[in-house]
Amino acid sequence: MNTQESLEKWLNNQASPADMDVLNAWPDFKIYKKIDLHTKAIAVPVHDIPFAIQELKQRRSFAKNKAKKNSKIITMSHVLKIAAAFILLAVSSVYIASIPTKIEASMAQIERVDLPDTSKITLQKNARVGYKKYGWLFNREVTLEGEAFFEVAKGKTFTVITPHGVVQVLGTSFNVSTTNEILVVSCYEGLVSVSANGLNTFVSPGDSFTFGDQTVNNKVYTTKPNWIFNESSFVDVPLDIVLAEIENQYRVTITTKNIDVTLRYTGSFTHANVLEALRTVTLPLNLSFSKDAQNNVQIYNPKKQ
Amino acid sequence: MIEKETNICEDATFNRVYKEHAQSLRNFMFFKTKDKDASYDLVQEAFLKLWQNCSKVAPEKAKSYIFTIANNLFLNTVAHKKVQFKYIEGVKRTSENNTPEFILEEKEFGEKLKKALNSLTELQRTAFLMNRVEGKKYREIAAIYNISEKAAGKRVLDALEKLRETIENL
Repeated sequence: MNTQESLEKWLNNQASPADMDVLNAWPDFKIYKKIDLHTKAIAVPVHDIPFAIQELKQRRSFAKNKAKKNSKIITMSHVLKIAAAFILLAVSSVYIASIPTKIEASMAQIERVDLPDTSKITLQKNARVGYKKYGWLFNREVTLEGEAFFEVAKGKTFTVITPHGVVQVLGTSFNVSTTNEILVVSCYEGLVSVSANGLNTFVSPGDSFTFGDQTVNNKVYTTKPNWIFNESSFVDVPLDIVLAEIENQYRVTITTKNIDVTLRYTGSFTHANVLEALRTVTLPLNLSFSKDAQNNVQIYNPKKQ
Repeated sequence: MIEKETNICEDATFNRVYKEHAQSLRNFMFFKTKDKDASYDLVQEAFLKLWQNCSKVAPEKAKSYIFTIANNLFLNTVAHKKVQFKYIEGVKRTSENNTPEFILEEKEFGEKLKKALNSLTELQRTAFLMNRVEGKKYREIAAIYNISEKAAGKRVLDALEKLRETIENL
């Protein structure tokens, strides 16, 4: 009898006593027996059948639910991932675009603002503009308080929002003034559309519209507003508006005595010297003025005194 | 025969098949993975597949079906951990008298055997462990692997000889 055959039988639990005799006489068998003993001591996990059956039933119902949507879920999740990335991008860009940039001209200085598309705004003293720097190319929109001169590069509609009306243009130079509770729009180049007082008005080059209680059309003869050259210019406007402009320019307080403030004035005054400015305004109207050290100015009619 | 008329889709039949084969499949998977939890999951997944295909599998074919499925699932699990088997604690692995030196020697032998088991091919190890730990006959092993009884016996014997060689060289 052969050791290999006996060993094979022994492994298959079929060894006869004769096989055992052969194996026990074989020195190698000792180590095989040792391997066998140790192997039988290997810890094998017990399969907890009642628990596992319960758990399997849960897996079943889960798999059942999943099977209905399975393929859809997988494709959707990819679409959703991409969509989520785009939504995030869109939301963040909308957010960034909504951050407004605010620029304010100081009390005594004209301020120049260069917009992202080479459009330019020149701010009159004390004027304030706000615009959205990051969304600029999509939304050319400026909010304005005070007076400013706009030189607009060609492109999408350029909108100036003021408390008194909305000014829209395509590409021009125009002046918008909202001092004195009225809106004055002067167009120097191109065509400007103004919605104010519930009306839509087109302002052509050389026109200057005053939108107050009534709409008045005046003419401009320069290519830029006078204040840019440090003077204020008026064509047939009531005196009180001119005086308010002087107050605004020079930080003075003007009171009037015995005079008709609805007198019409045409002319310019300088921004360089308050006395000279007061003189230019009062002289043509045969008025006089006095000014004290506290910047209080009184304008009166010398003849009526 | 009643069995032929029953269907695995029926709960009672499914449960009977489960009770009959789950532990043996668990051992099979454990010998392959050496991992308690992974083997549990493979058993459950295999039975889940059986249940999903219950109308296509006859009860008497269920065993070979789940063993095949589990084996495929095992082959599909990419990361095969490098783990070793553990011995049942407190079980004497020898019939002989225990001197401290002897115990130490036995312990060393045990460690060598664990390493040696890892050096076997997965097919050798599983066949050998089914044979030694579970006491499965060559015929049963042959049925699982769909090989001849002789080939199964050869596989077990080869494993044993490889183990001895490895242990002697450690």
